[in-house]
Amino acid sequence: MSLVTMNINGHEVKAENREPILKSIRAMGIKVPTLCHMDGLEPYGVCRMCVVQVKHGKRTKLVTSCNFPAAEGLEIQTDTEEVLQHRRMMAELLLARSPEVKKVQEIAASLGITKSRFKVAETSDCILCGLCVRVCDEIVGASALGFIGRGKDRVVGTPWYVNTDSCIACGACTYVCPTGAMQMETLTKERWRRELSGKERICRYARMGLISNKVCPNNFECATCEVDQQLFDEFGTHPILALKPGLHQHPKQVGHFSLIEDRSYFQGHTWAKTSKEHTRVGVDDFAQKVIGGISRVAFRAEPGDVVHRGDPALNVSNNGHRATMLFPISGKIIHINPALEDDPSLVNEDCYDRGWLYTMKPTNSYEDKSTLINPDEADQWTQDESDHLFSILTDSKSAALSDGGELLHNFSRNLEKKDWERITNSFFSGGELS
Amino acid sequence: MRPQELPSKLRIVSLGNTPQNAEERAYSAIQSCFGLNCELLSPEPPPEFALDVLRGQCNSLEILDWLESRFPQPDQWIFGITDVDLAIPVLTFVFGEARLGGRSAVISTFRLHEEFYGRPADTLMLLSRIEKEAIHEVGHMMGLTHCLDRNCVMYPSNSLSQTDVKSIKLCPDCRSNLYS
Repeated sequence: MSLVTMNINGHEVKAENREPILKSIRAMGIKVPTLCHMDGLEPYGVCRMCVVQVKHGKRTKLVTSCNFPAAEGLEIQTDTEEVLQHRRMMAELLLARSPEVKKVQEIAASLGITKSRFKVAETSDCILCGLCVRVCDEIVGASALGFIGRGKDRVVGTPWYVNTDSCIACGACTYVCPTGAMQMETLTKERWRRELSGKERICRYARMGLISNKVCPNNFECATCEVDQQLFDEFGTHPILALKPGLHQHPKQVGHFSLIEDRSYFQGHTWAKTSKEHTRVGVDDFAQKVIGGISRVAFRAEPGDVVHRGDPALNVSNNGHRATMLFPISGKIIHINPALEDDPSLVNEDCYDRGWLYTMKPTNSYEDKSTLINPDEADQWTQDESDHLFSILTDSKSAALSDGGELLHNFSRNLEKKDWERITNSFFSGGELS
Repeated sequence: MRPQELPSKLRIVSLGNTPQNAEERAYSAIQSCFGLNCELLSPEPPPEFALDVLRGQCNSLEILDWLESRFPQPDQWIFGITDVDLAIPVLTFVFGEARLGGRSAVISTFRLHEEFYGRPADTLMLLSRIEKEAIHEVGHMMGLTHCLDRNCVMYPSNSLSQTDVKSIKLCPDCRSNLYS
């Protein structure tokens, strides 16, 4: 990244090229009000409270600083009369829509506005900042929420206003909502016990994979829950905002297989992803596709066990074919993924996220780093493995490579025993046909 | 896996009807890219022996076996062009297939036609795709594996759009692998 020089309120400032100018402005200690901005989310520019005046070349204009990219020679003014007038107008409009919301009242008051001239037919606590929609999409990765309607009819909701399976009830949307419009719904205690089975009362942190398993006895009233308090204390924020399971790690495609760049890979087609607290391991897309429709998994280690790289981690079977996947790193097992025992096909559906296997405390992260395949080399490695796989699959007399076509789903079901053994021996760790 | 030695001749044969000029274009593309001595053979019948009735596609691996037994001269390579749809058991279809470092390859023009995708015919596009697929498969015979460079002719295209994106040339890495 190259540095550019800009001028903010008469001071020269260096900033990274194309980085949003709000960052540089705030770094100078200048207060800019925002409602729709949150660090870690893509800028959105809808509340328009962060407008500043930018002069580039001969043109001067008002822009939203949260999403305006830094460039060489920008002259930025944050407190001209025009800027303040614009902010006052936005505050008045917001105050008319959401007169009861404390945050809006505060921002309006800081601009000298206490009463709005505008009248609206229906007030709402939701200011349509989109933080809940974006956090659900970008950080949680669930995309359960969206905007419905347009213009004055725009609201936040789930598709067709019905309960959605995509929601993991993590509560991140209620946590980031600046106005309190987004709330968790709770049932009455009686309905809670009577109508929901134990499976439906799984604690939200168990569904996020942070704790092994817990049935909530508390009507999902997390505010009075001990576990909730412990995890908030541990992470210092909503745990899912610290872990960011969905943060922009869209898999990239290498031939027939996908890879995610935020983790390292093991020769036996398992991955390890390190965060501040622990390392999570799972199987990669290559393994998932080659093994096919996984019907059963058996964990080979339990929480508390100490394992070594290359130890057996998981037995998987696909209606007859079996394979054993290996641990990519050495360490102590903290959790196993409880969801897999109920639904082993999660490994096929989402091998890089919801289909994880273990969380571990690594014994030697330095050694792990030097032995695993890092994301830069993973593309080439996957391409080589793909070519190797096809040369095995097509080996009647000698290997052949082809161009074109998609892998057939669950193709390994039709493989003969000797081919399956060759594949598991070459790519995983040996397997058998039952 | 590199070939033992380069062939004295690469023979190009059409299996059944193929688009006009397909063999000639493949001939000149292969000759100019790899400098191989090429020869056009008279057409053979369509590869009905390889038809998988359930899928309605021909198994390209069986065609490679047939080509090798029909033209057994060990110092000559054989390159088939056909207009039937090709596939291997684990893939939905293939544009072409070649023995890595071996002496046989086949390409199919079935899915290279614009008409296959419901668009008006385009002979220029068709011929340029035939050239790319021909060079790609001969690249495998020369011992090259797939390349990660989207513009290199050895990039594996899972769909036609990827074939159209890649160029007709080998990237510098593949070119140096070819002669190392």
